[in-house]
Amino acid sequence: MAADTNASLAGDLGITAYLNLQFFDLLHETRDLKDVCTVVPFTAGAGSATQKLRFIQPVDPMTQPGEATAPAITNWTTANKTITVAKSNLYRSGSDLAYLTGVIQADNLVMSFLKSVVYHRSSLIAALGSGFTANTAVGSTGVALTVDTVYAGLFALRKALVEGQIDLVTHATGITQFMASLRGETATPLQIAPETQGALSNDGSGNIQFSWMGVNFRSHASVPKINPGNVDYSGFMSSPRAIAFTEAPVANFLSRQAFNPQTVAGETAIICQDLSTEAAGARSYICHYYPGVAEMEDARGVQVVSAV
Amino acid sequence: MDLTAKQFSPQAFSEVSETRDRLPVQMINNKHELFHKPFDWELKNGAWLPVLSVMPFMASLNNYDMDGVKDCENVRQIFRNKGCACIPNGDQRLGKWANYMATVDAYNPAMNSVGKYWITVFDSPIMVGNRVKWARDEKGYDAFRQLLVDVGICVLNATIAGMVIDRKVEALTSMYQVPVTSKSKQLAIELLERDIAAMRASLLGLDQPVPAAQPKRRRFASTPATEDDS
Repeated sequence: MAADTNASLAGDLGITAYLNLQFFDLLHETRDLKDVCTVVPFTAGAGSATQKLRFIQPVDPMTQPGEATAPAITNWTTANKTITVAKSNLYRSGSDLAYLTGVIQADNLVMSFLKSVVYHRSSLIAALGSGFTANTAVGSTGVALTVDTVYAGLFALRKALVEGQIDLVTHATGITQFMASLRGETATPLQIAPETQGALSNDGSGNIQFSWMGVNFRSHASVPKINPGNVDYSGFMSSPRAIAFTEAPVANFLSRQAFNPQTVAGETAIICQDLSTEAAGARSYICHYYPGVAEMEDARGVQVVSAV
Repeated sequence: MDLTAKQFSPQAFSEVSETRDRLPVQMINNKHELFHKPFDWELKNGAWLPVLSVMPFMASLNNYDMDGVKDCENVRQIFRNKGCACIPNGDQRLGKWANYMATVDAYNPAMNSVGKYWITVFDSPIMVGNRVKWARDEKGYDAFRQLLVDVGICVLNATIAGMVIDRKVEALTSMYQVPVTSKSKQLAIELLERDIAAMRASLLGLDQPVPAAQPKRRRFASTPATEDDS
């Protein structure tokens, strides 16, 4: 009987083969949308999974009460939103034999947590696109993402007083549609712009695939499909203050518990626990992650509809 | 055990594939329902119908899972505060479509994951080979949207319609400034022009807004001038 592994590692690990040292990743989404958001520190140990985000309007009309007259008090215009963290898990297990015959599987399993965490939080962020309501959605159902659509989104945000960095998040299909539209632009200023050359020659890697006319183009495989027959993608354009992102830090928690956590470079919010199951001759790893995503200010974002 | 004879009954063999009866999708979607943004309307066959959007219910997103308790109302409240109309699945005002959300068993070949794929009752995906053809009961869906207007979940009057048209005009004005360099641009402009013309023509059939009350003119009573006034 061939050597076997636990269910989750069955089959493809090639234990019966001689060379078992290297894993090759299958195609997968690698991009992280966290930078699209404002990252809000989560207050750990405060007794709640929910945090309040408070906003004020800093500009108010000055009063002109006249000479020797006391002005009336102008109260702050305030608003608030809440953001809640909740648990997500990924649990992997392999037999001792799998680890014995291939020395790097454990590292692979743990590192796959990081990639899965990045995918998961990005999918939460991508799901927010259809929620922007203050600005009219740009693009049309069944119509490809074009230069005009991007400008319409840009204008909508600028008119709403959004300054600075703007990100566009769409499916990879939308990015290619935009590139096709860009190719068709015959207006000379667009064609000779260095950013156009950069957009058309991007290699598809990186969280920001390219920046064009002040807009960072990002894609993610989890951008949801919408409308009858799933004919459209629901992306969005936004400034960082449109979406809040938080994740419960686990450092304090771990220091109080008898866990044997693995550390993953750059990530302070995942618990990666090593669960040795001696009797079964297996070793398991479980990842706990507590992210939270919420809209901060509606008018800082606009939905971008484009054909699939 | 004294086993001198034992009869074995043949059992029918069937090779069950877990994924065979599941809908292949690019991504297992999440529980969701529909909602309506106040200015998302389209004119279809002479009727103003709300364009509906998706409200996802995911743990970690929009307070759906608060301290371990999943509550759709937490999410709906965010959208209600923005002036949107929520369409809770199970709302009895929707009659036979009260439970308009449904699920099908699905799997994601890329991630080898299985789960429920959320769709509306108007969708009926058909798997051909390993590809999915999405079919939709358009008449049923439009009747559902009309019902949303009839029962007052989605509100439309001439004021709102006028604002919808204004937004389209704004988009068209912007397009007019761009040189028409491709067929798709030409089509986009023509589509907007047709939409705006049809919507304007249908405005007469909508309830007119109630004009704001005019302030009463202030009257000043005159008094006879006296010497002291100078």
